[in-house]
Amino acid sequence: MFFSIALPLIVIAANVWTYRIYQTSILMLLLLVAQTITLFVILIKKHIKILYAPLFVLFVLYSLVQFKEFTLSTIIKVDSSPEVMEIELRQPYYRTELNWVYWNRYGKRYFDDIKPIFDKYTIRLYSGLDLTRYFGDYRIIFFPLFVLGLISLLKTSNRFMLIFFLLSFLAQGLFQIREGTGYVYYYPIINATVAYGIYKILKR
Amino acid sequence: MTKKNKIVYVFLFLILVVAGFFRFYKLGEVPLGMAPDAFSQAFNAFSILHTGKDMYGESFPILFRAFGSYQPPLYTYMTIIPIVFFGNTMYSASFVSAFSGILAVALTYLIISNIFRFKKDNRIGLLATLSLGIAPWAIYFSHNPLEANLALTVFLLGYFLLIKSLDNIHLFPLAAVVMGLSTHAYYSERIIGLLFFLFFILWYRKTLGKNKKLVFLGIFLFFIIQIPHLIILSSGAFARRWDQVGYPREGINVIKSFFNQYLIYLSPKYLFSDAGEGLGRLMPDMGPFFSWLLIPFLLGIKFLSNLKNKSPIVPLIFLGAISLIPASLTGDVFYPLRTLEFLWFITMLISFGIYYLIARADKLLPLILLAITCYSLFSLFNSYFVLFKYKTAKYYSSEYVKLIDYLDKYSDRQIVIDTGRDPAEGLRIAYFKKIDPLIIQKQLRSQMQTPYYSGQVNAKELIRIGNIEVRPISRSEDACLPNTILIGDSLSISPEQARTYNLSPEFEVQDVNYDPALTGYSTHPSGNCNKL
Repeated sequence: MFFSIALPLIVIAANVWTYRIYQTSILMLLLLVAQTITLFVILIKKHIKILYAPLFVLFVLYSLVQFKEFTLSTIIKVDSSPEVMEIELRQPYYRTELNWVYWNRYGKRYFDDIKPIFDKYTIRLYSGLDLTRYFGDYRIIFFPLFVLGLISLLKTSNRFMLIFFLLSFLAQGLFQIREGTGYVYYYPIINATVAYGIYKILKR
Repeated sequence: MTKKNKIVYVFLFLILVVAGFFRFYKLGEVPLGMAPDAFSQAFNAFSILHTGKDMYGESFPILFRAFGSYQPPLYTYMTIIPIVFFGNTMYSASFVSAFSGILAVALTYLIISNIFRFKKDNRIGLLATLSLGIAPWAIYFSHNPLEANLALTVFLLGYFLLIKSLDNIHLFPLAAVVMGLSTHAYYSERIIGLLFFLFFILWYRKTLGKNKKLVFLGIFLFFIIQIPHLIILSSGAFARRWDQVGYPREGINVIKSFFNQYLIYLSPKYLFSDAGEGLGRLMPDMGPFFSWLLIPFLLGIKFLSNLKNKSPIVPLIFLGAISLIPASLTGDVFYPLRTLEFLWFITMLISFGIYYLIARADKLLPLILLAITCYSLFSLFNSYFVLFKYKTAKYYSSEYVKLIDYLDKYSDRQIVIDTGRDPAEGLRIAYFKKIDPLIIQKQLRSQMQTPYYSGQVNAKELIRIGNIEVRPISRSEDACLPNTILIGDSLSISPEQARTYNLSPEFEVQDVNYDPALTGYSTHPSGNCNKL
């Protein structure tokens, strides 16, 4: 029981990201810490799964409240002038090279409307998956622990965890919260996985 | 041949056809030009073919001096063959890369099938082959004349021969020779080839130790092949490229920078999505891998970690770990060209993940995967053969390639082409017009300010080919040359400057957007030379 709480707390305390979030919002930090500990406990004891779902939902709701200037069109529409210019720039290229593939109702709709949104969302999805954000500089010492934790996690095939990982991944593509906090949806996953890596070493 | 084997070969053949299509379709046409380095490789190959010397008049160099740096030699020497068959074209210059791209696909089947032969399932080798055959990074690098792509193939051949030498020790010296040659193919392999070769021997010391004579012969041959490197080790030429792309000498924490760079290359952001404009980008809207492959990538890790017999995959994992060392020692943010072995390793992980999925799923999943793959290939086609072609035209100096067609009309006039934005125009003209290499050798040799192998290499030499001079334009002086055409972009000579120096437009070369890219101006020195 001691390890269940102390280990993730040690990892959280050692992560400078925690202090950045603390400076922004204590409530957000508390929610993230609670999620991290719950995730870790689920990983090592495989129970209290039910507790994580409301915590996650609560965090999603909280992050929605953070969006004062959020409009759905930033995600589902390509409306900024550079994006529109890019689409217009590409039209003659498609016309020249793709011919009828572009010049039909569906082709034009795909290339001018659907593809840009799809590409935009893909970039947003992956923008947080830059490992230097989480393990850059001296935090590199956590990286082998994270890899070990990730491998152990993948080995266990914990579907519950994978579903929430996927949900966090998809949600992070939609919501990018306040300046300074970073990609907070990954915070519980990264810290819990690092703690899990340490736990695996200690267990051996 | 059993029926099962026949099916495997049919699938393998089909995969090679698909891989071949993506590597040879519009080869030499997309991109719409070539980088300066590619032209120096091509001209050097042409020069070696006819004179046995490179463009500086150096006999069979160990490294090829070009544009202030040095190029590994293997690609240039091998480009002689396509030049013999296809002439002085961009197709010839790119042929070795495209062909080695297909060889790499075939070698991947042999390597993975051998590593996983204990599983007795050919699908794993076929999926690995298919994954490499259609990987965006592999297609991109095979479609460009790059030494790194040849180096990967030579390395994979060495890896395959090393694996085979575990069954037939007589192949070990050959494997050592090929692995040694890989260090002459590209800079990254100097580190990767050496470390991997030594690790492989160490890992399989018991198996290989049964015939120590052949193992020592192999090691001896490997180091014999390194002698050219040793000869130029202290000249400055050996490390010239590293001096250019390595970390700045001062104000940098080397260990911190190394690990940060290492993490960048491992980041899904750069591997699975378009990392944005700049060096990290291969082609628009696409990373080195299709974005949905993150899931098979994770499953690939799971597949490897679940394997009971891990011994055969240890060298593979070791390769994955060391393959980022050379790139991490450089300062560029995500430069995939330096990490082809790593990208190959990631491709293998992805293929293991797909295998893991297919082996456990029902019949519907392969159909879903097939549909997603078809869509991905459609996206790849659009990204590379449409968007990349046009959007990178300026980086590949397509307008300077077009310019060559204009020059013949002015054979009775002196022509000066500005090299401000493009240092390779002289070589480009020399290559396409099959100018006698001796003419270029004489000019470039005389402009060498340091020995051929040196840490200090002057970059911007002047070239004169008949009535054409390729050099920086001096507007005030060149405008006073009689019967001359000055050619440059708007930064070389703007319309206002043309009026000031009494230059009249003669012709215009348009870029892919039909905007003026280069303008040829006739000089009229009598009007204003005395004033200036």
